[in-house]
Amino acid sequence: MNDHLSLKSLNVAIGSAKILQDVNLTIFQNKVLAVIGPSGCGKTTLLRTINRLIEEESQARVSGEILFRGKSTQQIPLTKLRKDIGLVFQQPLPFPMSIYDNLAYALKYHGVKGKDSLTEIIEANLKLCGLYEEVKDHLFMSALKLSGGQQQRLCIARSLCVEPEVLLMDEPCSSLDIHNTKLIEDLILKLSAHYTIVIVTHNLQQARRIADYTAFFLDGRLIELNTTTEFFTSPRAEASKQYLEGLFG
Amino acid sequence: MNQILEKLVSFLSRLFTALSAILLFLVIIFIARESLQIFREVNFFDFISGISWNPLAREPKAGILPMILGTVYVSIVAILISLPIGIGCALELAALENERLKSFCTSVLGVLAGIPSVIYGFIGLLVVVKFLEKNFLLAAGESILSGGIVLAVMVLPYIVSSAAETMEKSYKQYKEPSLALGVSKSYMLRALILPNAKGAILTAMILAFSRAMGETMAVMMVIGNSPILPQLLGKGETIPALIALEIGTAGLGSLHYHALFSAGFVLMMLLIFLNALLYLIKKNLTENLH
Amino acid sequence: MKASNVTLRCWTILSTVLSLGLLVFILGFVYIKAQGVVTLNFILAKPAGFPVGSAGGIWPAIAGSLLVTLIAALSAGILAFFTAVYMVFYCRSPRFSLLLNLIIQCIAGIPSIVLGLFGYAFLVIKLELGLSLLASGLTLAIMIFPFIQIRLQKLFQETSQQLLDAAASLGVSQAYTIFNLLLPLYRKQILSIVALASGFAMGAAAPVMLTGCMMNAPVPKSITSPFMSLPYHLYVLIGQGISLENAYGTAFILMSLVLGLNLLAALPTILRMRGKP
Repeated sequence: MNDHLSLKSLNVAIGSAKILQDVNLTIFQNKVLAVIGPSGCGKTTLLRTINRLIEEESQARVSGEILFRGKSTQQIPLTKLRKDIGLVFQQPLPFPMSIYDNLAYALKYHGVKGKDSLTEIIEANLKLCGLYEEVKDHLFMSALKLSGGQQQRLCIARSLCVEPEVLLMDEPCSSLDIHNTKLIEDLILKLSAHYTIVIVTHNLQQARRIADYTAFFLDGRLIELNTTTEFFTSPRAEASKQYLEGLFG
Repeated sequence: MNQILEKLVSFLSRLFTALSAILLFLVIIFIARESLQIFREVNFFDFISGISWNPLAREPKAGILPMILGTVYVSIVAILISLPIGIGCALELAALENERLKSFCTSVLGVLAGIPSVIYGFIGLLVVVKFLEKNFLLAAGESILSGGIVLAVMVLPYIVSSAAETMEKSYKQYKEPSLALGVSKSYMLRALILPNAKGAILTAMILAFSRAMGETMAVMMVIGNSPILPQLLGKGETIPALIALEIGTAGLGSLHYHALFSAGFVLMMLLIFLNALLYLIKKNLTENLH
Repeated sequence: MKASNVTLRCWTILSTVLSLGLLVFILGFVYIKAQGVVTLNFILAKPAGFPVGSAGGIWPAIAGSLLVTLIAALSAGILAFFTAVYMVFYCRSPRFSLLLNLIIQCIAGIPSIVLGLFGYAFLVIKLELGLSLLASGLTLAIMIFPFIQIRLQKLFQETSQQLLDAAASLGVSQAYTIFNLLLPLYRKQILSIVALASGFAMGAAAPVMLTGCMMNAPVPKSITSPFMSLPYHLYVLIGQGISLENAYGTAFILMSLVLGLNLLAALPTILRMRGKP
């Protein structure tokens, strides 16, 4: 089993608030890792630190190291890093353009030329995300007209278009109905054959359904990293046990 | 006591609102009333399509087509010059992360908008007109082009602030999803923010156009003021300049006087229409955002 | 692909530098050329010489401009304040408020020279105010009224509904809330908006040259007297080729007064920025 990403004594502070403290975490290749914990425990910040989006905040300070394929993320050019590590946001935010252009947007930047190859990649990713059948006749319709669930699947397809190795997902189902949640969970299981996936979720059942590993965070610290089965049946840490029993969070 | 105050405020606010609404109609009616008399002697079509202006001759001619064209011509030249600069500046401001620097730039543009138009005319005369005389070997630098250049500077702040507002909103909204795809900020500006600002650019253009058409002093000082059909490097005259220059010598109630009011009326209706259009487009744009 | 991104950055940065540079150029041009012209005597003396203005100072023009701006700011400010209050606190019909907003937008569209015509035909002739400070002041007031009203309305609308609900639930009247909550809360912003509008009024020549401003007049004794104004004086000095030197001086004073008003308007913002860490 390969380490795809490893976080070494990672500390993140925004202003005077310490968001993440001394996090050491290994993320294995082609596995699904669920990150759980109560609100404000730093889950979202963790994802934003991995693809260095956190650096867009002027108040943020990061120390420690993140190795991506054994190389520090600080030594990888930003655009390359973010192309290789995709991020899907909690709120689906399609760009105000057509479905086709949403997917072509980053492809064109990363040098894919020619209408044929663009269309080929776009259609393949729409099919992968189960959206193709629904939109194949309206590829040039504004993406803002899609339903919330369709928009989120579009955003996943948009991230997949640039062929990332890792896909970070920040509560991707929190604003969706059961049907769309199911579709996205199935998609995640399908994707895990080829991608490393880190998903932040509030929904313990969801973590249980889709994740190989589960990481439990509390107050900015990693409390426990375990296989999902073990975590939910016999957690090692006392705090994990209490969290699972619903004593807080 | 409180009751009385409440009644008073309620009354005053109604009264003043009614007054301000009536103001518009008062202005329109008064200008129209003073205008209409001329159409006993000249028909409306001849008035706006006539190319000779000589209301004091024995056989008075009152055609304002050269002035209408002059007004439109300088305004178009102004927008052609200032739109690319304004949009570029708006893009840069929209993407500026440093809040202090951004607010500094905004205030500089605010000051630029606040400089009196006579000062623009003054500098235009001493700098732009002189420059054209020297470098284009014109006999007189006073021309449509110099009017356009001066106006371009004057409408620039309006274009920037109008366009930057929308661009800034969409930049803030789409910055993170765009960065997360590994594309650069420049690419985002070009491929996402700029195309998405089409509506805002259109509004900025209309705003600038209406500002430019209504401007009096700055244009009047650099354009040469001859009532002839305008050419880029030749003299021309705008409707506001015509009014400002001739109303002082036009006898109260004379044909000349009424002709000037009619010219003002034509300009006013055009600008009111543009402003109403602008308001409605803006309203539509903001509603579509939500 | 990369090249077009570089082009874009060049374009945006150049545009910005050019836009900001224009202000530096304009200020520099006027202030450098005006050196030596502006003396205490220039500020405080009456225009003299033949033709008038070729010598002496510009005090009547300064006084006239300040007075006419004061009249305009006061009348437009009051009109705009109550109109904005009505639209935000009393008007219940969205259609009616849309119509009113459209009307105000249309007033904003009337070119200043046409307002001058209106001021002349209505205020000067019909209401028999004569060519006077009052007629000019009121004409300028119509010009800056939409500017103030639109901003005040936006300001009041942004007051949080919670705050207003809290006030209403204490059982006090609308008027009480307006004067005891809103006015103290927005005192600085209201003053700043009016100051900015005053700057526009002070710089406008077209409306006043038709309604009461003269090439030469003493400091006005009452609101019915004709007067001199800085922008018109500047226009006459250059337009008739009277004195380029004094024109620079007049431009210097006019610009300083307008910039002063601008600075006054920016003061709340500047202070707020300072307060931030």
